[in-house]
Amino acid sequence: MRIFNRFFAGLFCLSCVSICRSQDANSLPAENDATVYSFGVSGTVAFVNPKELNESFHMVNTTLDLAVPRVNTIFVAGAHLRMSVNAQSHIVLRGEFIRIFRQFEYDAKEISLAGVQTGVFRVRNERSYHTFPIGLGAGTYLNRQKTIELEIGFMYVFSVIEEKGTMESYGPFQSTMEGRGWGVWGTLRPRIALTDWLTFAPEISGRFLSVDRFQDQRDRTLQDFALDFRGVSIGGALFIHLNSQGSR
Amino acid sequence: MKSLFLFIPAAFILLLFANSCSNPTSIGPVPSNFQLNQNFPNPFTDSTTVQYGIPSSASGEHIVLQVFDNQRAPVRVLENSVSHPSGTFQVSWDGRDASFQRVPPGVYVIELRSGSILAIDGGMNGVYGRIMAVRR
Repeated sequence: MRIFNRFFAGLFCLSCVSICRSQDANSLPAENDATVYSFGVSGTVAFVNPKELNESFHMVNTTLDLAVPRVNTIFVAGAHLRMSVNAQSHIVLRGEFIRIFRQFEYDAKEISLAGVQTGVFRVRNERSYHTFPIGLGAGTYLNRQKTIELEIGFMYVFSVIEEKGTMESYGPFQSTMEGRGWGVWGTLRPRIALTDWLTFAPEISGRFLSVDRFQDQRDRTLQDFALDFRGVSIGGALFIHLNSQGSR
Repeated sequence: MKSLFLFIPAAFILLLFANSCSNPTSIGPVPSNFQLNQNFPNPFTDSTTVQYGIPSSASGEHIVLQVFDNQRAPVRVLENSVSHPSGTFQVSWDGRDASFQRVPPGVYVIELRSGSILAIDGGMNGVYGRIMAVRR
């Protein structure tokens, strides 16, 4: 899909920037000693209220007498690539993945051209909302013992809304829309060193992401709709640290 | 200033064109309550008809009949009258959105809203909704 190509192209470009910086660092032995690279994975639960998405579920529930659950929490999977700038600070490249999925079925009335009900047909509907934030930010330790750190950064976000379904006797339907947006995030993270090279870090984050300008491949746009993920999240991250000479 | 004079007639022509796709037709007596009947045919390929009723208690009120997609994004306004008479009406929808592009196959919601109903409902959505399905 086009959006995935953009995602990997963006990730590749940012990785190239990071690699170029590390190659520059390799040419400067004095700085090389201080450079630490970290790779981490994280999982957080974010408390959000995407208003327009929940309104769409409310509309479905009202018109179809269903009980599609609203979105109050989302799971955010993240991957982090960090490079120390000096003893106190680092820059971070952060990629995340958010998925929301809802599925529901109902009977719709089959009405003839004359306005007479001729039966019912079963409609099955699946909706998935995939969101991919990519962020670039900076972090610093808040204390001299380097046990608490703060990260802030900007994010470019894109989302894919995919709707699939079948109308019994009338065939399937499917639509895909892509949207993009921007956001900011901030993370406060105490660090617990498990070994010299492995750190566990519970974290509390604030996230402000908004994705709109949704359109499909025919340039049909989704008016007055945005996926807003604003809220606080809690979770944990695991980091592996490497310096330029190898494992620490 | 000159460009403003050019803009006003152009906008008027566009509005006339937009409204020409969905003129409600009075087809019956005044109902005792709001009515929004299931569209027919359903599902449909080219065009479908929606019948709705406005009671005498709501005569002269602002009435909006609108098609939404499943994300609750507005697709097409079929009727928007600031002073709608009471009675039973029907309006057709050609399966096109506000920019006159055909909407993809799927399920859409039609909603009838009036000023008084919105006041009771706290402004959240409309009171009446019906599902209409567009097929290939």
